[in-house]
Amino acid sequence: MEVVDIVEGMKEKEIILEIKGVSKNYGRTAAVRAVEMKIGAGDIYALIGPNGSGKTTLMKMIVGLLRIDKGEISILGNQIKGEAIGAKKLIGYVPDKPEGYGYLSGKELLYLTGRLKGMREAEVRVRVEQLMKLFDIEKILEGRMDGYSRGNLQKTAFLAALLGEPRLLIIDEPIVGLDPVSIRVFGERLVKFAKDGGAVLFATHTLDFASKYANKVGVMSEGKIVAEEKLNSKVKIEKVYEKAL
Amino acid sequence: MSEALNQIKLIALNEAKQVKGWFREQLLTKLVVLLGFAGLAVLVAGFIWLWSWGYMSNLAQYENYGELTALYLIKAGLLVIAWLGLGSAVTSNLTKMANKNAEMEYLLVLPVRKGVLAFWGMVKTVLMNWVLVLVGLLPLMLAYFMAFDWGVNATLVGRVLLVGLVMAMMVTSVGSGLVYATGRWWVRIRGGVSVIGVLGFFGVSTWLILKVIFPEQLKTLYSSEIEQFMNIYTALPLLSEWWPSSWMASMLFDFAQNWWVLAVSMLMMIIAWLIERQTMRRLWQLSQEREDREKRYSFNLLKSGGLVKKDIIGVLRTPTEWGYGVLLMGMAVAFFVLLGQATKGSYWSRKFEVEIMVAALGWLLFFVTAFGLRVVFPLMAREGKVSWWLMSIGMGRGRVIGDKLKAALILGLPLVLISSLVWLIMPFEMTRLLWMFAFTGVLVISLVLLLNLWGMISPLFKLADQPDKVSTSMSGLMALGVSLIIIAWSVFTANKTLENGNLDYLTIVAGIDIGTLMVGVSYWLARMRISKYEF
Repeated sequence: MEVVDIVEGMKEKEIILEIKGVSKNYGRTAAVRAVEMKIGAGDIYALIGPNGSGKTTLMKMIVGLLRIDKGEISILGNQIKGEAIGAKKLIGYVPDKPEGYGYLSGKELLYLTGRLKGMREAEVRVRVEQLMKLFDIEKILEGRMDGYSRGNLQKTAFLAALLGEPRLLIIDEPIVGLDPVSIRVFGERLVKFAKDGGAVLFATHTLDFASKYANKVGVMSEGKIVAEEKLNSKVKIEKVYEKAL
Repeated sequence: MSEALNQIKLIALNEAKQVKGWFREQLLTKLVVLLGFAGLAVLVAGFIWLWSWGYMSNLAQYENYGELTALYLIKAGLLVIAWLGLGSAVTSNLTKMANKNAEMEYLLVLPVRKGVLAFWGMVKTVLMNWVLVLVGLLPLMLAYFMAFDWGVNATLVGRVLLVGLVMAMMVTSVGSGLVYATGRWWVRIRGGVSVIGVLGFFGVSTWLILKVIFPEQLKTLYSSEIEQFMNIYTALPLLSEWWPSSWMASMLFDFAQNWWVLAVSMLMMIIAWLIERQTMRRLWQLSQEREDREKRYSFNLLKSGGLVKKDIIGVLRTPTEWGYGVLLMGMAVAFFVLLGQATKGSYWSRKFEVEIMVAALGWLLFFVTAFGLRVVFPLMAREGKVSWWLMSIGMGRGRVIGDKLKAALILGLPLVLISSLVWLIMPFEMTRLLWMFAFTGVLVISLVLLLNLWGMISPLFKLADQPDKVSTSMSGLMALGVSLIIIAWSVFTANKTLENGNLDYLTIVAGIDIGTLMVGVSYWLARMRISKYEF
């Protein structure tokens, strides 16, 4: 089954992320310009584009780490501007540089995340035990996070993002530092998440990964979405990228 | 040799460039910070001068007894300054060895001679210690020269500067030599245990210094006949010629006869340099290896609990944080024990007792501010690297601020305990102590809360890994300034109340109102500012 079939199989697609005319300036530089986007349940949306095109800025606005200058962002109807807590509870986020608390172990961070997301202690324990099996990193998660490699930080942040009841995963550069097996596990997990009714938005420069796991692609250039396509066996991501730029 | 000199020149030039680069941005802010620190050093030096000058002027009225007591005071002062200098040398070398330092890592990769790195590091530590030593030594000696009519001239000041340098060289050599000679042990025990080691070392040395400065024989001096006086006085341990503080004192009064002390200090420097040169690279490698291997927590401390517990764990698992806090509290206890010893058994007038109590309160609050600025003030800034997680997790800003305040309160509890202990250590009559207990307790809690809130108004997230720099930033300096105003008000209130012998309700109520208003405004500002942050 192709990833695109997940979407096709859903009768009435629930809109999880809606972006309306969002803009962001850094001083005089326009980083994001009037972006419109809709991502529904089952969507795995790959955001691609050259360095400095505004992908990270857009993602940081979605999760509330950057203020929106103009426009609206809502997650299942919760505005990130006015109902930030409600919106953030529905998001799992993995940044481009996922640093952790140097003085905590990864396991402690996962427990803390679960607790702060409102899960009960027993619930967190069961969930963390399940999640740790994904990448087989139980031993590593007992170590202090300041000793982690880039890949292990990425895995820990991903597991933390899956805790609670997220409906939207925002992942900036999902596979940086990951080994080939972990990349596969990561991708498959995204597909499962979408299949279970979630939505994924990730930014990447690795077109192979995007073409393998995404069912929708947006090309960003100079702060704008310049092309958006559904991916299937006929529409190849490389072509969309080349055509857009 | 020429290659080594060239390398030293290059490293020095590079560091000069870094300093220049540091001033390129936010020049005004940085100048204010530097001036603030210079002002603080001048303030401390001024206080030492004022107190020493007043005391020595009084002593100068008594021909022999006065001169001898002043000499004793100088020797005791030299010993205390040397102790502080040694503490600074040990701490800076341990920090250098324990902390990850990208520049040092880069230099160790390059073909730079070990001796060059050791030499340059020692030069910087000596210069820093020289300044520290002079902040205490210069005002003490100026007070002596002025009180005993020596006059102040360039030769005398030059001699004090030179003795200061000799002292800085000696304490740096001993500190560096000790740390590097026992380096493998430090690396092996690392973390909390090493801090306990440092504290143990300074605890024992403080006890020894107290024994040397205030021996049992000192008490017999008060009641001795004039014939016995000299016998007892010359046998006091502090006057023994074996103490380096005695060498320094001799040098201060006659440099030509005591030039050999300079030679000894240089020899000590060479020995310390050889030890450091021999051990530094291997110790660096060992510390890196252990870092990767040892840091494991199979026992999950965060199975329950939230941000408050996380913040407390964060301080407890960072030896530089809690170590600093405990060291500061240890210094405060040592200071008050010293003050208690100095005032015990003496017959003070009521007025003088009030003055001492008020001064003790001022110093206590100063210690509390120093602790708060270093441990509690950077709690929010420490979130910097992980702000992506904290700010995207779906927690309200009110909860984040509330949890930080709770953590600050818990971390400040030992301070409340110590502040109570101070009034038990000091030999004052109990009538006013209960009031002082309550007053100090409220002040300590308020200061801790305010410092925590101010740290949230403009947190330096970029310095998340360097909380020490957060405390010494512009916002840290501003927090220090406001704390000093609070301390001044507290000292004023305490003075008024103790002098009058009854509670001055108007000043107290006004203080509580202003304090509550300050906490409220600071909380509101922190809440407002945190929502404006972009990461």
